[in-house]
Amino acid sequence: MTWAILLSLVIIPLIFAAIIPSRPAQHAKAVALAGMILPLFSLVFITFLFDWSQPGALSHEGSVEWLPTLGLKLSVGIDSVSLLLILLTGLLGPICVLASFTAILENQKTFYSWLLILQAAMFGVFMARDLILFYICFEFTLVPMYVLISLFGSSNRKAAATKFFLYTFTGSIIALAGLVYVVAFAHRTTGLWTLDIGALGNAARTMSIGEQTAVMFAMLLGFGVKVPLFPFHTWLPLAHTEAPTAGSVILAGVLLKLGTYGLYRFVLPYTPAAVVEYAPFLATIAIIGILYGGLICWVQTDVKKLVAYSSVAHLGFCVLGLLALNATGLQGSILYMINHGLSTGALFLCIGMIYERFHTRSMKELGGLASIMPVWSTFMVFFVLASVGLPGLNGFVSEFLCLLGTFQSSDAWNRPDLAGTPGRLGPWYAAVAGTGMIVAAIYLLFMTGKVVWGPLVLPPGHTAHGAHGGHGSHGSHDKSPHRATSHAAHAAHADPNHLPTDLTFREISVLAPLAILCLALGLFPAPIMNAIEQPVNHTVRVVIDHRNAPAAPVAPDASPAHAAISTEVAP
Amino acid sequence: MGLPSSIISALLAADAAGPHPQPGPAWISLIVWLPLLACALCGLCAAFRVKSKLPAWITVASLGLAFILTVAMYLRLDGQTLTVSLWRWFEVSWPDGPRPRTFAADFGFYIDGLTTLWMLFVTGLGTLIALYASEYMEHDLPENGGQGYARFFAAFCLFVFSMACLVMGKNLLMLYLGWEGVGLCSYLLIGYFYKKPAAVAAAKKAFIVNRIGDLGLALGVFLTFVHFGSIEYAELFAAGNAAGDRLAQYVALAADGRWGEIPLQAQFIAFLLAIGAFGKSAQFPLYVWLPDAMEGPTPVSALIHAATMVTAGVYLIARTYPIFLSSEHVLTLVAWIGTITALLAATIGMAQFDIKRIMAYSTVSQLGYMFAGLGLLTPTGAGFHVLTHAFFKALLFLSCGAVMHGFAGQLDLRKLSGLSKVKGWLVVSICMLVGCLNLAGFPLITSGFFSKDMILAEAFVTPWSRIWGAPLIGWILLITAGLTAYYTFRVFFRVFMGPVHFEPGDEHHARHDDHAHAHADHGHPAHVQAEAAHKAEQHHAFHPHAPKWAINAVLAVLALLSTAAIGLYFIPSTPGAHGGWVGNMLETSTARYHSPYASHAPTGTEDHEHGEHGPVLVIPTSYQPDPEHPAPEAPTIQHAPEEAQQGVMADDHQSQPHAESAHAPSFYGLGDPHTVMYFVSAIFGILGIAAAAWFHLIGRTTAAHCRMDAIAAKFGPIPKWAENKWYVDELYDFLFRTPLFVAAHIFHLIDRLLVDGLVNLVGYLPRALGNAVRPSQSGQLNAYAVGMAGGLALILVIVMLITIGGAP
Amino acid sequence: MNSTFLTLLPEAAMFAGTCLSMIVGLSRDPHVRNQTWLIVLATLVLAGLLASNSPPTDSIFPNLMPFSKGLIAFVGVLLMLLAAGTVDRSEEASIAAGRPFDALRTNRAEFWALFLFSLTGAMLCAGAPNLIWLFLALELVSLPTYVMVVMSTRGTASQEAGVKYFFLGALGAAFFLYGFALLYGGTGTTSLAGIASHFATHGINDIAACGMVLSIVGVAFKIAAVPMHFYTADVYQGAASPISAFLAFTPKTAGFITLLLLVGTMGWNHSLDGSSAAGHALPEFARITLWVLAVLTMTVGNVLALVQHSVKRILAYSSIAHSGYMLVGLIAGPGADFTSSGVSAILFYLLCYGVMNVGVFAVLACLERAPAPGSDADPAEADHIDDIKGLCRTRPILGWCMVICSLSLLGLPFTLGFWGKVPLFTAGIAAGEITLVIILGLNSAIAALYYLRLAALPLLEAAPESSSTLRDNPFWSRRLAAMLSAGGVIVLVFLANGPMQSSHQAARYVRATPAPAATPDPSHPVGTHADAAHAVQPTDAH
Repeated sequence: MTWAILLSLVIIPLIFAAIIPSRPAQHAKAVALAGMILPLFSLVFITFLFDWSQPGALSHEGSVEWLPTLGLKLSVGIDSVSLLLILLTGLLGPICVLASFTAILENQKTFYSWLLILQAAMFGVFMARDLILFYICFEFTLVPMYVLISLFGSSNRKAAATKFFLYTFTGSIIALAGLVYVVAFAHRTTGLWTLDIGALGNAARTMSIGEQTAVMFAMLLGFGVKVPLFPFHTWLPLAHTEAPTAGSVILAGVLLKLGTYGLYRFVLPYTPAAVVEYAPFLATIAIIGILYGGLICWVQTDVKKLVAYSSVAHLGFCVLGLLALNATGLQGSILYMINHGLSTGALFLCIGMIYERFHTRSMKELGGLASIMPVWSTFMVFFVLASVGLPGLNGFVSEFLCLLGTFQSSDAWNRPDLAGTPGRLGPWYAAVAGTGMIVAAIYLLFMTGKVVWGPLVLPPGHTAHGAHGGHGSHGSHDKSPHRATSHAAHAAHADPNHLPTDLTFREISVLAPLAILCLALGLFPAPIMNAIEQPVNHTVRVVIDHRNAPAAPVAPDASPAHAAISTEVAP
Repeated sequence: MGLPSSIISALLAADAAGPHPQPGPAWISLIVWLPLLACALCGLCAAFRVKSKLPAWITVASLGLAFILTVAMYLRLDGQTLTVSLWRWFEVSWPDGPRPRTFAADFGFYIDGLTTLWMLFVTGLGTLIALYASEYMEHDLPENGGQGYARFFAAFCLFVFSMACLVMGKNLLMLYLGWEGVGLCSYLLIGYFYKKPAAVAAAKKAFIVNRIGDLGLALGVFLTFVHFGSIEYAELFAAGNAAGDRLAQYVALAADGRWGEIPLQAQFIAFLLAIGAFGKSAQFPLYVWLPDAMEGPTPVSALIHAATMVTAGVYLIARTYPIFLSSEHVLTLVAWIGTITALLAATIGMAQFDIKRIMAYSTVSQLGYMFAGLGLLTPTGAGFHVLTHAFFKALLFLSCGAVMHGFAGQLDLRKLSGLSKVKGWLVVSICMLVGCLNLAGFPLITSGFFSKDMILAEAFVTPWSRIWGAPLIGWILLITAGLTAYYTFRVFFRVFMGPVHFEPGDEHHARHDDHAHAHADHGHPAHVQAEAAHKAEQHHAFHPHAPKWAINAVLAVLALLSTAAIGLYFIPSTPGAHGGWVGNMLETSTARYHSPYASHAPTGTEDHEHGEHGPVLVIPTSYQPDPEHPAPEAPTIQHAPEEAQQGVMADDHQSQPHAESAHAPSFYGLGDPHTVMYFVSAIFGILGIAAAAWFHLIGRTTAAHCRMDAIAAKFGPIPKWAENKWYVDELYDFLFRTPLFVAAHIFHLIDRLLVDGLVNLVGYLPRALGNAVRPSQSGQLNAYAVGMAGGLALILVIVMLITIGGAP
Repeated sequence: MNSTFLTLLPEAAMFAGTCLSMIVGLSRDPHVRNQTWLIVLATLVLAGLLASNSPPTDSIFPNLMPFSKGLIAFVGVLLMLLAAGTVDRSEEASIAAGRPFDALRTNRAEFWALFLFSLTGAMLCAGAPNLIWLFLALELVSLPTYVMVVMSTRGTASQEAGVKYFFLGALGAAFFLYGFALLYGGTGTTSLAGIASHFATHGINDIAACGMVLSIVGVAFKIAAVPMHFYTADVYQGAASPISAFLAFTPKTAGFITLLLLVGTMGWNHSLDGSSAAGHALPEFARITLWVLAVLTMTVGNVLALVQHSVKRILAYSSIAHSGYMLVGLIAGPGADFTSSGVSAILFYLLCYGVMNVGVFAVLACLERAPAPGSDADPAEADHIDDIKGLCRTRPILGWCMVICSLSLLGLPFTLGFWGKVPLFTAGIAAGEITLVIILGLNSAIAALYYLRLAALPLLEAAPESSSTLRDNPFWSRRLAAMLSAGGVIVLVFLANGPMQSSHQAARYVRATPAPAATPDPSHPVGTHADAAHAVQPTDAH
């Protein structure tokens, strides 16, 4: 019955989303915060009641018939991988609400209720065990995000939102066609109409290589756009730059992970032969994404755009890890989903805080903030280092594992005397992808050097106002102190909710948990690694065992038994 | 005759593997945690805006304590190898056929002689330099308008923590953690004066260049894991388990010169690791970041960029020496890279005018010596040079720092002269002299002399067949030694001797300005001009403030230490070892190696022939720390007959190392290189000093001009080139940075126009199609009727065409 | 005979209701007159009830009737709510102002009568045993609508629309009448069952094939499929919104039922390569015809809708596109169970489409602009895309109805529209029509472009100046219709199982078996699951 707790994750935010419109606008944030925090309690229960002895099995599993005619069940259940991503989602939720207190001043009701709906949908994606249910939640995340961007975004928001919606919508419709094909195939071979994600996998793996390839590319169109993989990434910088801070955080933190999660959950286990077949090609695309995205970051002038492109590069590593098709790579990749969510989300938060103060994100107009915003700068540098992949912080663990996995996964080294694993990549892929580490250092330090370090530069009309006015006048060579202070007074009047120059307690409390997690995951990743070891090894085994597609579909007699079982656990 | 004896003995040794590294006491980890704690406390000080010097004292206290603990560790160690494992950091395991594979790395420490050697001077120097910095960084105290005091010490402690992780780490991953950790700290500390664009740029450069090396290191770690199945030192370097035995076998094969039987994969590991080492230790292709790193505060330059961090590369190679030994060409590469670096940096150093930069280049050059030492099969020599260099280079930097501190950031040796005659600068001058003598390798009374000799001598001992062109290396290094002496004393004679003359640097005005940060205003031209104006009018009023007790005391101590280090050389070695105390330290570490060619220092054990044949037998076990020293005779005697076989076997392939080692090496017939080298290098050193004196001291009346100017003029543009570092930076910009940057712009364009353009086009197509079809909706009834009829006809035609003959 | 009469009970009820409303609608007492809709409502309910328990027939779709008649009655109720007050507004106003009642000037009675007639025609299609019946039923659907379009508003636009609609409709009718004739010529019988068994026995000769193509294309006019679509936009825009909604549903339903009956006679048991060997597809020529129709219809409809600024035109073109989607189901053909049966997909989609379509039109019907003072023209309905901007702020209920129904038309998950599309997807793929399904997917992506606009404008935009002149239409029933359908779109997401079930039963397909006289075609026993299943036990497959 514990699956009711899982459902509560979806229901609670929806209830609060429904409450908000009925309350006066000034209560909206409070209600939203409650709606985001209450699920955390369920999360605590879920985590404790989770069957840690069998992290690869489905815990909190349960289902009710929804549309039996369609074979649709409202069936949920999580293994440790889903649990991790659910935890990430649950964590980012309240942070996003907290971060929007001063950023969102009008239409608060709309903003917060849609934020809550989005939260519910994202929870739904990760717990769904039914194909259509998964797809419903997967698609439904589009609407709230569309509203958030196009209502609360900046100048070019309409175009950005529409592009985001249509691009991902189109992709995922093709993906749906692919998935439905799998269902139909399973129906044809096993004579059983099921939408159970695990059961479908068993049938899907019996597809011929041609079918697998077609289905894989269909799914890649859906999930690859979401990730985003190299040629399909152009919606991302646009959407990120236009989205409100909370939107960017959710987008980078969770929505992109829907893509990689889809790759992990569907592409790998459903079409193993095709994946093995095309691993080098896809890995090349991922590497192109890493370097191409990274280099583009270098020439950005908009901080937010820079971080957005960095997501393209980072998720390239993530996909690369998946394609390594070994435990190291997959674990690295899954950790990458979490870590990227934390560090990049935090970077977006930092940038949002700057934007609230100076109403610009252009590196031309911002510089040397360390002298007036030491606390902010500390956090900024910290998170930059985390996403550069500094050992001891979270980014390193996943990046290292992804690269090691890539390095290992070469059939030539799959020998008893070597620690290689079967796979089609190898040292060269790792070496080339590794240069991405250098590029990452280049662009992120370039950004830090411009914005955090260097002589103080503020956009015209702004000055170091608020608490540290005195300090502020230090670096401002061109402004004489008294002018600075007068500006400060002026700014204080102009700004409806005038923030002090440096971070407020609220903002610190937004960033601190993320920072702590970055450090904790950097130093103590082993527990998580152990948690996801079993499911990952199961997936790897499934892929490697089925790397050669059967010439002909298996005889239907055995299949129904197969189909009945959902993803069973690696013994 | 089946397996060669050495392999047999290797396997024997593997069976009879001594006890594995034993778990050590937990307090050892305090050495790592104390600096981290101090870092946290300093952070709190920064958060709460502590006004006093508290952060400095916290740092000094914690580092001092760490040093004491290190000494305790040294005493406790007593030739054993200890491991302390705190928690499991990484663990990924997967079933691989029958047996499970695991990629695991503990967060823990591995203590042996090498570790202790490094930790001793890291913590020791750390303490001293922190003390020095407590005074040096005064002007950043809040009451002096600075904000950085606490930040400085926080980063300082963080650095010591990372360095400790690097050195004490119990596996390659911990090393990597420290490796990038120190990189980060050097980034933070170089960029300490963050309002100074130059500093920020230098910091960025340092981090990025290091990253290039780090990539090599990372790949090396990957390959190590893939090949040996483990990255734990305790498994790699101890016999009795798969990884250790395999490595043992490789080393044995290498000792027999049977390279063909060692997989290229394994040989390649060393190359990758070497790249990492080159990056961190500023070796030839990747040395460009170190001189720029001098933008950081001087104590930082002294600790990080002279004494400790930059020697991490040496540590890495020493730590993984067996891997390097089992690689045919990489040691040669290391030796040559070191040599080239030494020469190149020396030539550049000769032409610089900024004394701190001169010291930076001398650091690069000396690091070159260390690498050459490693390449020339004398890790002991390298280790000893690291130690002595740590002391005297720190001394030199701190002295320069004192000058900089006293003369408002003035570092141009054309604007300083005769400081020794200025009141209150005697201590500094003497210490500087000691440092310079050490660096110049002045015979007998300096430790630098002996450490350098150990390396130089090996150059003439190691046969050409093992290290290609070893004697060449020797001569180049000798010449470099001369140049080193020259540019070192160029500094000393010009700055501390000669007529008294000085101009203050541009930080003079700034320091008394309680508003802006001292270094903050470099960036702003207007401000600099203002500064200049200020200086102009109150130049005459400038009084250099002599260093106070903290600086003087630290300098004195360092001077004493760097002289006392001579003693270490003469401490009797444990039997089988050579190179004095350092030799003893390394004897119980993974860096233990006895050159089969000549492994006797003057203080070496009396039984030379055993000493030199020792390796053939001992190598397999040599990376095998033996806790209770076995009687040296025991192995050698019991292996004597095998050694005879070796001799027999040696005859049929001439490329046998022992072939040369049979007749003792000699320095061009003058006798044992180790002895002759004393005189040769002494000559070079003194020549260099003399030249410096002739050109820069004798008859110099002003600060700015000396005889050298005339000579330099004769060389035409060459000195200019040297001053501009042979334009290597520009070359790199041209080769790498610019192309990448252009590529980035091109990609950006492609992304905006092509990739996104295509997307937009696809998005626009339906609309275009719609507009194309739209006219058909004319509203004309007849047009519609025609359309319907036409459509019907069209469909009929299509059906006919496709199903022609299809319908039954 | 008896059973045939039983199956006709709903139509009989409808006819009675028609006559009654014609009388009541002409009552002199305005209070009685104004209650005509009650009669219509009662009629539809009654018809629906009667339809629900009409016995299975021996046609190829034995259970088609109950569901389709019930469907027509159900959506008919919604349409009725929407249509209330379409005609006679100013007339009634002037009567209220004191002008004497003149039976010749009022239109209400005729309007409701035509309304019911058209629906009756649609019902009759479902039960048609032969071509003549089918033709008459189709005409009974269409003829009233011509008049309804004209009388729906008093502007000239609707008259022009009506005329266009009439002429083109006549042309379309000519096409399929000719087609029917050829079918008869080819098979020698007009009974659908007879035709089916003839096909099953002797195969399909070229004359019959030609007739089949002709009648398919002709009936395509009813479902507004390309190339018979030209009238759609103009007529929908010219007519009043309730009538547009009516046109978007009733003829479409009748058309699809007709297509089912016609195509069903050939069966889905032919192999793709056109050889006589058994397969599970339509005969090649029919498949190609429908393929071309489907692709053209979807694409042209969508791309044309993209470039419109009039909501009605957008909806008109989108209704074309929806017909295209449903044609995919027709190509896929029946299947063993709901997810693999294209027929049930069509029937279910008709329900979904009917509901959400009424919703969108209802919102438009609720908004109007006052006519120029003095002129006795009817108030102009909201039509321009700007009129729905910011609706969620100015008129929350209407706004949200618009948003929900548009998203549902878009086929967004968690709306009824998605449930409508999924069976089409599954059926199409189960039938191996991958390409067609991909095209369908891409098309719904294109459709997303304009539906997103329809959903976003009320929700996200601010109301422009021009919309300040809008006022609410006085008829509460329209608002009710909007709310009912919007609610239905959401509620049915959870309760769709029943309709799916019944649509699946209705889709039961019994393949004609060759007349015993004929030499059995070896290919017969094998066929789709459906055929196999029903061949053994034709009574019930569930």
